[in-house]
Amino acid sequence: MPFLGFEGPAGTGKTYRLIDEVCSSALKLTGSSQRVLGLTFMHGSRRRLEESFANKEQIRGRSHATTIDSFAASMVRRWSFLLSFVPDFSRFDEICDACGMLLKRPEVANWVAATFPIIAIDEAQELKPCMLRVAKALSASTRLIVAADEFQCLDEQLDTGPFSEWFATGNVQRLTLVRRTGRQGLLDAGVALRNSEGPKSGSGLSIRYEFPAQVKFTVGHALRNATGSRAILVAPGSTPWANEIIGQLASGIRSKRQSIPPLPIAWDTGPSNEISKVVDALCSTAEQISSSEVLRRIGQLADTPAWMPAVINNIEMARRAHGKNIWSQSELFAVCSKRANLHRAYGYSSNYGIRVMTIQAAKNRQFRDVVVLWGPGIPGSADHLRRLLYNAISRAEHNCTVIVRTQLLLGQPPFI
Amino acid sequence: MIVSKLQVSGFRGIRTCEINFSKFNTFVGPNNCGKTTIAEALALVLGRDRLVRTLTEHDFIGSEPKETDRIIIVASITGFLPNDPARQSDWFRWGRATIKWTDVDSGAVKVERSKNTDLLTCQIAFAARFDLESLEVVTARYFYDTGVDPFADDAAIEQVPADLIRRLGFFLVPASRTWDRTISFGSELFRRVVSYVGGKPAAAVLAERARLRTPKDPLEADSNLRELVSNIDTDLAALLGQETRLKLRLTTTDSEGILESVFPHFSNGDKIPLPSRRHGSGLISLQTLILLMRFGQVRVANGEGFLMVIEEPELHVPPPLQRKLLRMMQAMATQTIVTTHSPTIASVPNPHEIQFVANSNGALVARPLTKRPLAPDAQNPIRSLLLSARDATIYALMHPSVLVPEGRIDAAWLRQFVKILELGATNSSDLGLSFAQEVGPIPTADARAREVYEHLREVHPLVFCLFDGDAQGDNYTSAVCTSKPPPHIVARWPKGWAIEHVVGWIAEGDPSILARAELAQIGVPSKPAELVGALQGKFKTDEIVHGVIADAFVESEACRRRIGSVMQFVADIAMGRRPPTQHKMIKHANGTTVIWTLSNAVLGI
Repeated sequence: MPFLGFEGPAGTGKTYRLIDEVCSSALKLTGSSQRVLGLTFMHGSRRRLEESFANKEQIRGRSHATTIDSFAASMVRRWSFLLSFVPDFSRFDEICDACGMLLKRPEVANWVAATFPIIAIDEAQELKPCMLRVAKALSASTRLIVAADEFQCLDEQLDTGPFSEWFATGNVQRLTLVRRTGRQGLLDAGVALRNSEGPKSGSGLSIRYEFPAQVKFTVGHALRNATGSRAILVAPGSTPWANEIIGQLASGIRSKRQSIPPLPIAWDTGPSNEISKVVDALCSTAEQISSSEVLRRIGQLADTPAWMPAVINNIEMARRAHGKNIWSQSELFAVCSKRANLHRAYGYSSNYGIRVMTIQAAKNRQFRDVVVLWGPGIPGSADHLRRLLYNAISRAEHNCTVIVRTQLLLGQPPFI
Repeated sequence: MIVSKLQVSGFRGIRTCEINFSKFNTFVGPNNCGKTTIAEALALVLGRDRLVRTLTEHDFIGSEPKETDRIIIVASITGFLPNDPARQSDWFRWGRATIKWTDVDSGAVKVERSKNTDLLTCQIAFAARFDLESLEVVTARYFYDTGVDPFADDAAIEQVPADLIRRLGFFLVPASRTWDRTISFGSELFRRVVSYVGGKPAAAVLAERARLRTPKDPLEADSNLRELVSNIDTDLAALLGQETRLKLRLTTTDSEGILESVFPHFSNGDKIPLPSRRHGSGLISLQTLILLMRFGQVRVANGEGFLMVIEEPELHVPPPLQRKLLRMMQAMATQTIVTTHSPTIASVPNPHEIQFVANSNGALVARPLTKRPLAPDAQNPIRSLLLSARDATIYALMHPSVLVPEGRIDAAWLRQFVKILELGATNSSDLGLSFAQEVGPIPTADARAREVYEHLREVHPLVFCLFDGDAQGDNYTSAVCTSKPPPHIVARWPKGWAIEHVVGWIAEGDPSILARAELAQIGVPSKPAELVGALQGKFKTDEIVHGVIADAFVESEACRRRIGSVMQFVADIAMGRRPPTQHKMIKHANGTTVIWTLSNAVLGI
C-alpha cells in the first residue's frame, strides 16, 4: 500500500491533517499492544507532536513520539547482532543508515509494525538519504503517513531531489488553503516568496528598516502589548545584534519620549555555553579527578543548571555500578552535554515570556506575534534566503514585523 | 514452550556454563557440583518474583563482588507454535524480544534462520550487581539481545512483562521443602492452583466467617473465663466511658484471616483427620506433588505452559514410588527438569535425557549420557552400560573420578572390597576408605574397556582405567593410550596379575582365613595359591562365592589392611595424590598418560 502524504505551504494544516489521519487509522488498531508512532527531526517538534497525540482521545495512551535519530538508535541497539560492524552511537547518520539496513529485512520491519502499525512522519522534507531509507523501509510494512513541504527545507546542503522523487510515489494530498492566519499581508507574502518574488508589507506584515537607535523601541512596541505567544526570530549571523537588543529590552528602555518596562525575554537555545562554563569550572584539560572531587567541586558551584542533579546521579552510578572513579575533562564534558541535551529534550520548558530563537529552530512552531531580525551577510542562494524568510514569516498567526539591519538589504533577495 | 538453553555466569559456584535442555531433563552429578545452582538460576530468570529469595553477595562467585561484577543468566525459550515471529507478536515486536533461532541439532542460538527446522527463540536474561553502598543486590530481568551491560547508562533494556513470565508457568520445587504449609492459603502454589482452577471458595468462606463471628458457645462465655472477661469489660467501661465488650474469636473474622488459618488435615477411613504435620513426610510430600501435578495438568490441558523444576524428587518418597512419580511428572508438564542423587530416579529417563554435571573451577559443564537417543544398533558395551547397568553406571558417575576396569567381575570385586572396608572399619585405620567416596567403578561389559572409556570421557571429566598385569592388560593399555584424547591415568595390577591374583594376595595376608568352615563348605580351596586358580576357573562369575570370601575377609584385620592398601593406591592416583613410593610410575609415549603399577610389597602390609 502506498503511503499517504500531505503537502502544502506553511499553515495549511499539514500536521493537523496528519494527526487527523492517524486518528482515523487508529480505529483499526487491534490488541492493546499496538501503538501509533510519530517521528520528527527535532525534539521540539517531537514534544509538540506528543502533545497533539495526547489531546486526541482516539490515540491517548496509545502513541509514542520520538525523533528519527532516537528511533534509529533504539533499533540499532537492539538489533546490532545482525550488523557486520560495531555501531558508533555518536554518529547519527551512520546509525540511521544501519537502521535503514535493518529495516530492509522483512522480519525486522514486521517486528516494528507489530507494535507500530501506524507511523506518522512530520516535516519529512528534511529527510536525509539515510533517513529516507528508514522511511522507505517503514512504508512497506506499516501504514505510513507523511507531511512535508519541500519549500520549508532549510538545509541548503541537502539535496531534496531523492526525497521529492520518493514523495511523488505516495498518495499525496495537496493542501492550499492557509488556515494559520487570515491576515492578507501574511498570506500574500507567503505566496510571493514561494513564487521567487519579494514580499510586500500589508495587513499583519511590516517589513522595514529602522535607525539603529530606534530598533529596540520598534521591537519592544511590537511585542510588549501582545496578548498571545511571542517570539523573536533571528536570522543566521544576526545573533550579536539580537543579543544587544534583548539585553536592553530585558532591563527596560527609556528615552525622552518613550519608555518600555523590562520584558520577560530569553533565548530558547541549546545549553552549549552553559555546559562549557560548568565543565571549565569543574576541571582543567590536563586534570584527572576522582568522583568525590567532581562532586565536591559541583557542590561549590554558585549557580548550577537544572540538569546538574542528573549529572551528579550519572557520576554516582558510574562509580557504583561500573567502578569508574577517575574523570577527565572530556569525559565530564560528554556527561554534561548528554544530560543537558536530554533535559532540553524531555525536561520542563516554559512558554512564558518572549522566546528568542534562530529561524531554523522555529520550524514547525507558531506564535501569535513574531519579530524577525534580519542582518546582512546571510550565506546561501537567493532561493535559500527566500526559504528562510518564508519560514520566519509563516510562523506568525497575527502579526509579523521584519526588521532589516541595513537599508541596502531591502533592495536584495529575498526582499525583491 | 520450553527452555532450550541456559547460560550462566558469575552465579554462586558457576563462573561460566551453557546447558542445553530437552523436554525432559535429569541432572546427576556429585554433591556441590552446581545442580541446585542451575535450578535456582532458572528460577531467577523465569520464576515469578515471589518464588525468588533475596540475593546477597554470597550469590556472586567468590562472595566478594566488585562494582563491575555481574551475575548474568540467559534463558533461551523455544517451542513457539506456530514457529513464526510474525504470529507471535506478544513475544516478538518492538518493546519485546528480538528474533533469534535455535539449531535443533546443535542447540546453538543463531541470529539468522538458515534451516527449515530452526526454532524461533526468545532470549530472556536476568542480571544482578552488588551495590557497595546500599549493600543491596540490584537486579534486572530483560529481553536479551547482545551482551551489553544492562546496568550501563545507555543500555536501553526492555523489561520482561510479568504476564509473559506467567505464561511460561515456571515452577520450582526446591530441595528444602516446607511441605506442611503447601496445601493451605499461606502457600503461593496452593493459591495459584485455586485461582487457576476456579477461584476462591467464596461461599464457604463467607459462611465460615458468619459462624466464626457469632459462635454458638463463645469462649468468653465459658464459666472459667466469664469472670475475667466481665472484669475487663468493667475496667474498659470505666476508662473509656462507654460499653466496650471483649469477645474472643478464633480468627480475625475476615475472609483473609479465615483463608490464612486453613490448615491441611488428612484422614484415614473414619478416623478423626490429623493435621498434615502429624503425618509422615512421605504422605505430605506425595500429596503436594500431586497438587502440583494437578495444577500442571490443568494448565497443559488449556494449552499453557507448565515448566517444572524439581530438586531431588526422591526426597521423602519411598523407592517403589519414585519411578512412578517421575513418569507422572514427565507426562504432565510441558517440560520437566529434575536434579537427583538417586540412581533409581535416574533410571527412568532415556540416556540422552540424563545430563551429568561437572564443575571444574567454576566452569560448569553438563553432558548428556548419549548425545542422541540410543540407536537400536548401538554397540553392545554402551547399550549395556546405559540400559541394563544404568543404576551402577549412574552411581559410578556421581563420584569425582570414574574407573573403567577390564570387566564386570573387576568392578564387582572392587565393590566387595569397599563393602569389606566399610563393614570392618575401625577407628584405628581408615586406609582405603576414601575410595568409596572418590572412585566409582564402572561395570564394563564384554571387556570392551576402550569403547567404554571413549564414551564416558565425553560425560565425566575424570575417567581412568584399571587393567591387569598380563598380556591382555598390555593390549588394553595400548588401546586406550592411542585413543584421542587418552586417559591421564592407567592403573595396572602387578606383572602377570589379574583381579583374582589380588584376591589371592589378600588371602595370603591371613592364610588362616581360608580354613573357615563356610568357605570349605562351598568348595573354596584352603590354600591361597589354589584360590587364584579357582577364582579364575569355576568361581569366575560366582558372586555368591565372592560374597562368602568377602565376608571372611571382613573378619581379618590383616586382609583388610591389604585391601585398604590396594584401594588407597587406586584412590590416591585417581585424585592426584602421590601413593607410597613402592608403586611404580611410568609415562606413556603419548605424553599424557601416566601408568601406575601396584606394588604388592608395600611396607607393613
